[in-house]
Amino acid sequence: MRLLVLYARSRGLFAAFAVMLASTVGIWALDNRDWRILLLALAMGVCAMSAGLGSPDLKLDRTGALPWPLWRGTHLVVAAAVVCGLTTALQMWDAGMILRGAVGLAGLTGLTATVLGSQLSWTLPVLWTAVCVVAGPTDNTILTWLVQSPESTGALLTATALGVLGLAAYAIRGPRGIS
Amino acid sequence: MKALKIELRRSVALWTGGLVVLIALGMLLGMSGPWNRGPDGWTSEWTSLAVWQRFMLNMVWPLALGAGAWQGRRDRRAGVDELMSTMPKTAFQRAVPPVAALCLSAVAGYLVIFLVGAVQVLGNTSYFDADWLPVTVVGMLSLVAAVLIGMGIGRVLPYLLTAPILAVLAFAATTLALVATPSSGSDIEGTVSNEFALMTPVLKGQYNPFLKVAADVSAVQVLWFLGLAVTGFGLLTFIGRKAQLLALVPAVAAGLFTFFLLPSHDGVYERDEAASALVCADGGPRVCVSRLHEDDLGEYVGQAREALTKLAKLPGGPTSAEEARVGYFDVDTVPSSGGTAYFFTDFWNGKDIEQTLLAGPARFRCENGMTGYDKSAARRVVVASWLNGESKPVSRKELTPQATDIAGKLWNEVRALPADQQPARVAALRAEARDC
Repeated sequence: MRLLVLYARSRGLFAAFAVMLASTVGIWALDNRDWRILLLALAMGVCAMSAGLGSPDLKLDRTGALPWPLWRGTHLVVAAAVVCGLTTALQMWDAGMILRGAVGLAGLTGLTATVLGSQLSWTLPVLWTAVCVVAGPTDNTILTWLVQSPESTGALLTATALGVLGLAAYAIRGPRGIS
Repeated sequence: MKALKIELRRSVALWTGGLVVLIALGMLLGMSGPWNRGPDGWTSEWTSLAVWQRFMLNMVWPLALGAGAWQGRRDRRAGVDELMSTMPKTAFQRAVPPVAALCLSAVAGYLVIFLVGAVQVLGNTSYFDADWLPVTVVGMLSLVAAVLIGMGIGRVLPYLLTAPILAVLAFAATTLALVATPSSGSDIEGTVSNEFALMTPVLKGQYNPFLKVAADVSAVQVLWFLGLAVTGFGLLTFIGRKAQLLALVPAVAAGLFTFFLLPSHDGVYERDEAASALVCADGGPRVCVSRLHEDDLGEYVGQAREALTKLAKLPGGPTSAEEARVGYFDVDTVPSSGGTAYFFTDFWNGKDIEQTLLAGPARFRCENGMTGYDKSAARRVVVASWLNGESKPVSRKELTPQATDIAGKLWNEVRALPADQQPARVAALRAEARDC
């Protein structure tokens, strides 16, 4: 338990959770079922999540005798689950669409963290979300996977690929600057 | 100068400028959207270019704000804030190089997009006026303001989450400004007011090339973004909480002013009288287009005169042809009878203007839905076919079965009349051709 609390503190998880909660309350107050608002909720979620993907001293962390890939993988999965859970709790959008978006964006955040570092890991997910908002649902199901209907195969495959790749990359390699 | 070069190399400045160009040009060139579909496509003329570039600030402005916040928290984050303050330079002097690098880079990105568009505009039209210049200048100023206010907030709140949250909130604001204003026609219209929308830098094309952005709106926006920029620079350089509170004054004052000065309804665009003035071809009958489309006059004169010759068969038929200088959504306001026939030169109505001249432009919106469209389409087909001397109703576009039915009946009715009464009947049909 103590280890968990220390871990959460070192990653700023309490602040991140507070931000997620605040954004969820804000979205609830907007009370609008437009798909753009869903994307906004997810983008805020991954932004808050991104801060916790690194720590103030990654190299110091590394000396700890802990199974880090397992911790990192669990961290990413739990973060995605929290974003998904909070957004689903609003009961404003299709649960499958939220799950797909949360999995894909969390994976992309993890992937970006391994490439650009945790501090910039929010950039690619937010950029892709913005492109989806501006372009709207087009025929290109991969580019606009976030706004496709829940039945779209291309979007589901994109989200799954991003989720699996991101989870694997982040769990195995860790954020940039770790070695 | 040396400091500026170092900042350009070592800060996020070049990345920001590169992303500005990449995002905006990627959308404008790589994706199909209203910016390359309507009669006011982004490369069709100068005002359209300026307005669609402002539209692209939807993504670019939050990017500049986020980059500013990211940059602004650098010193505090790296723990060298105190060390830097021991330099024999004022806070103002120290702030200039990073600010200049980021602003230059963002504005240069905006200019690159402009140049790419301008080259194409030069190829597409010879019409030129300077009404678009304030629109572009406000766009650049808004980027400078975004960078500065971002850096200011980044310095005051040097947290990891500052930049992403600012960027997402700014993106939400610009998106709502585009799709959620009253009468924007989306599911979430009315969520934000027009004043709020105008306090973000984004503008949207109106499917109408004969509009320009009102000069007073641009002037008020200049005031607002200057206020934001001054506040941002203040937050970045002032030391101490009280001074930072003082720095908020320009933005709050400018915000209040602009909120009351900006039009609350429909005052953003006004008719561009210079662009919509008529230019007529030599000789008769009279055929005119707008000054904006003067280059295409020669292309239309032949078709228009041919149509006018056919229309001369009708009693009281039109004797001159003019370009209808209205936006796509206002097509239904074009009169369908009288001494002048109207045509369009844009994408939707096609470059084949004869049909439009003969039977009037197609109906855009019918209160009673498809039944109205069918009636209107049938009448237009009958009128055009009779004028063309066809032996049966001929339509270029495929009609619905109902419309074909109505057209057939009307046609027989007209044909059953004695030859000398037919023109009057067709003239009456033409006058009501666009009723639903």
